Amino acid sequence: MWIKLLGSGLTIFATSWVGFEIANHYRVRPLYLQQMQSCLQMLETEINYGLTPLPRALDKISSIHQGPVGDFFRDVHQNLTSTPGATVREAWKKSLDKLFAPLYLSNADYHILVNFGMTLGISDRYDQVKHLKLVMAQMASAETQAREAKEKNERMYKSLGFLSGLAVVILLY
Amino acid sequence: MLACRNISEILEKEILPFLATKVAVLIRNIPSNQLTGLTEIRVRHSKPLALYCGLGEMFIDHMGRLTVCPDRVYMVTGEDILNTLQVISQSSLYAMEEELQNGYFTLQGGHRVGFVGRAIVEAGRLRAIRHIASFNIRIARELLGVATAVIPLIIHNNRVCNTLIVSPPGCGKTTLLRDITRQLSNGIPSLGFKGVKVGVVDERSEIAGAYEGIPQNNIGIRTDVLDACPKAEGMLIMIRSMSPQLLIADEIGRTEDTNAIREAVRAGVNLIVTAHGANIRQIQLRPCMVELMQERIFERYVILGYSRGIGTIEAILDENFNVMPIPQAVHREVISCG
Repeated sequence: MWIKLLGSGLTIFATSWVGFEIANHYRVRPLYLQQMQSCLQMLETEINYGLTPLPRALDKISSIHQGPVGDFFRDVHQNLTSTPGATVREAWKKSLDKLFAPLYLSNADYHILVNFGMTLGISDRYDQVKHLKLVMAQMASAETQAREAKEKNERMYKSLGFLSGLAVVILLY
Repeated sequence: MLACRNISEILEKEILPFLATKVAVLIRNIPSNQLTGLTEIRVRHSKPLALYCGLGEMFIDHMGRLTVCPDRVYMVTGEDILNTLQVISQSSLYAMEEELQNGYFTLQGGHRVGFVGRAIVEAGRLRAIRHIASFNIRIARELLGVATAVIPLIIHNNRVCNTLIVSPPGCGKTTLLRDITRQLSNGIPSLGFKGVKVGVVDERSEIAGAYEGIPQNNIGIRTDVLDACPKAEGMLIMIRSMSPQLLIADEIGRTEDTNAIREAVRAGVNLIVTAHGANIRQIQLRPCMVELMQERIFERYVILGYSRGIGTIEAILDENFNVMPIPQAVHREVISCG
């Protein structure tokens, strides 16, 4: 009897936990995408108005932003400055690969950002601003989609986790 | 005696850190005695990597050895160009707007990296160079003592004559000017010449090799440097703010420059400047220069060439274009150390 009850509790707990995890993915993704945009916006200001060298600009951005997005810019800065002869393209991609999971990026986001990294720092100001505007627009549309997905799925997965656990318990009890 | 820093030391500290890793490794593996007198490194997209030592041209083969034959040698890749560009600009090409307009960067130590590619023109003016396709890295050599033979001819009655140094590109014009600056600034006891206050307007950061405003080359104890400033404006600022007795400027030739030169001479300042040209006749073909010559502004013309190696002093003329006798010691190759 007690063992049965304990087993049911554990089952419900486990499925709810899985449900919450999936829901969490839908909850934070738009948040990170938004943060990414504000970082890129800051980068644009540094490039366009400050003419700040990239390593310093990355350092500045990472000191202001917390969480995985700030970590990402910190990591790029570190990759770029720690090895002599390092290129932005490689540093940027390395950090993206490393922080792909914690940033909750989709494959499409990943490709957009990798492509952007290939252009960063290698052309004049006008060109850089154009690339930055493009990647920010792409991030914004990704954010809109992520928000819609959140509205649709966040609650559903939370309930689904709990209810599927309950269903299993009822069936087996 | 000529004295200069070891070429491998210059390469290791000031040049190789700014090249694409692959190219840097190739050059680093060449024994330094083979690089004696290295003046240029040429990096061209899909073309052999070329090194110039004096007048000789060399390539690097696949085994990392120097060869004069351009077959089966290391070819520069697009990636080499891109990586070099990134390292030189600290991955911030956008911050180098002025350099992109001028077509060169200056590295610490005064080495000039010239580049060309596709020009972006806006309203008839060059805005930037994009898609950079070739580099020319010119290694600045400090050759202390190069000017020793010239100095007695440009000092007259303990006064420095207004001098124009004429030379084709790459003949040691800036090297000579730098050593003249150093010697006149320090003073030359053997000639009874006391040092003068020298103002250097170093538009391209090549004479003093200033980094963040501080001269890296030995240019004498009484020398002030206005770094990276346009020559014409810089000469006037120098006269007003630093009261030099001698003004130094490299590569003059525009109308503004000639006006500034007149202004300086009227202010009682002596000057030594350089201009591109193979001989005095070519200089006379340039309208703004010929005016200065007719006004007898220059009292000495030093003509450089490469008839007996880089930096040969071909002739020294006085204000009436009469050839002055050059002491025998001048006839020698100045780039003789590595």
